[in-house]
Amino acid sequence: MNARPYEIIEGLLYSEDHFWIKEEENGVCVVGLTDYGQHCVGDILYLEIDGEAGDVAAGRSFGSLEAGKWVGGLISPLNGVLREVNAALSDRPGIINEDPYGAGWIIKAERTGDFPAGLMDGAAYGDFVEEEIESEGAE
Amino acid sequence: MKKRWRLLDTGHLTAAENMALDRVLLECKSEGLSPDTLRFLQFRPHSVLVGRHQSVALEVEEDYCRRRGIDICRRITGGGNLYWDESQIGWEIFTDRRGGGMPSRPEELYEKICQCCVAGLARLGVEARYRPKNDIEVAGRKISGTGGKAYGGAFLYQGSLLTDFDVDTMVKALRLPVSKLDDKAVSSFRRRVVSLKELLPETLPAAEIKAALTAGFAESLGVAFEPGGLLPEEERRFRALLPHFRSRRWIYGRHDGQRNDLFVHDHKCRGGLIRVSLRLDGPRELIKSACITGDFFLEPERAVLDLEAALKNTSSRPERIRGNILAFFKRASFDAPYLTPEDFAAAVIAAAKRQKEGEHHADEREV
Repeated sequence: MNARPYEIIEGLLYSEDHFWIKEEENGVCVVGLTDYGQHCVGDILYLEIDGEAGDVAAGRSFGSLEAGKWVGGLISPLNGVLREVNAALSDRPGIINEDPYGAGWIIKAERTGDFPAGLMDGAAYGDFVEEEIESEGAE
Repeated sequence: MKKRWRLLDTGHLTAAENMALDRVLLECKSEGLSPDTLRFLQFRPHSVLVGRHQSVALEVEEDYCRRRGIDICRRITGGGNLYWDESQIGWEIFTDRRGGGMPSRPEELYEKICQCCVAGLARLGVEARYRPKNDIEVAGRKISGTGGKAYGGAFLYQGSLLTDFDVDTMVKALRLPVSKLDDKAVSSFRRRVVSLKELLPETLPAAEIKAALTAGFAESLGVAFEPGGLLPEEERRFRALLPHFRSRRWIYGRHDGQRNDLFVHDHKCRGGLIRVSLRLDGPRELIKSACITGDFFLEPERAVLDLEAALKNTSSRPERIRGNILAFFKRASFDAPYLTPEDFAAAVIAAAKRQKEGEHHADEREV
């Protein structure tokens, strides 16, 4: 068992809730769901972001998504101020399934303070996913 | 020693009360304040519920509901519109996402929990089975629909159970993938659901049904249930949250841009006529639900019902429809003289294309 069937990109930061962060030069962080994360939830049918602007807090929900009949929270991997929501997802949230690290980005937030402890680089996240797959006996 | 869970039977409540309790029990479970819980719920007055992200205007016949005194509310869980008469029994569990032996991948979780209900129904002599992704069916006919929500470290997973069902009211109260002007389609929709009353020789009291379900959950989860009531903190939060769940803001919400249009297409082929009715969300390129009828021969009859279930909430793009239908028939075993999977694919694709052509069904213009 390994994480190889799922794409993991070096240079990004990853949370245990399967969200990735890409910090841009201006300090704004792009946040999305990882390839493994989108695989676990399945075809995403609806996505709702709480409010157009405001704070996001690490470990707290900033919106919800629905796949199948399952509603799950979008769990922020960082503390920051919401700057932009990917408007394309409102009509076609399935873009997250098709291109989780590209067109399927979810929000952009301006980071406040340091990144929270516990974020992983690509290699560590790969190990984390492998462990999760093994512990559940999943494919 | 088996882990102990609370058995909470809240009896008949209004839709808003039931929805508020769902939120409170899930929040309290995620904060470690509540025990693992199996709750039974019922609705009075009868109610229509839309899924967390659905639009009431698109899913519910509001005028009809108002005239008939049917409550309307929004669930915190996902899925489609539902009609609950006062006889139906809802079941739901609240537990931790990790550490309790529950799979974290939703589809494995659905199956594990639905099997608890299946085990309970078996105790009543009903041979039910889980149908991916979220249904429990008897010989292809749906008896229970299910859905869930994760919150913090906890989740809620719930289902309905049809005991004695008023299909006429359901068809009038909800916007379903059948035209209300088409008697044949409506009667065919009746065959897609089944209630305990139809399956059992006598009407069982609700207490007996709940006892069987409880035993099924106990056996499948390997836990023991202990009857209990709401904790003081749960009660306090319930009172505080109830106005929110009664508010227009919660019930009607902001769900712009969605569609739920009905498109019907008759596809003639060598094997007969295939009539496909689709509910489509055009902007999202989504088949919300499907109903397939006609004069074709396909055995077993349940294959059509399983195909409808497989098409629910899938892409309406022609290439994806074709791929999904061909994959379905590859898995299914069926007998259909003069019919091929390509015929079904062509029929569904043609119905979906009507959306692009802007051909709403006549029924829709009346609503």
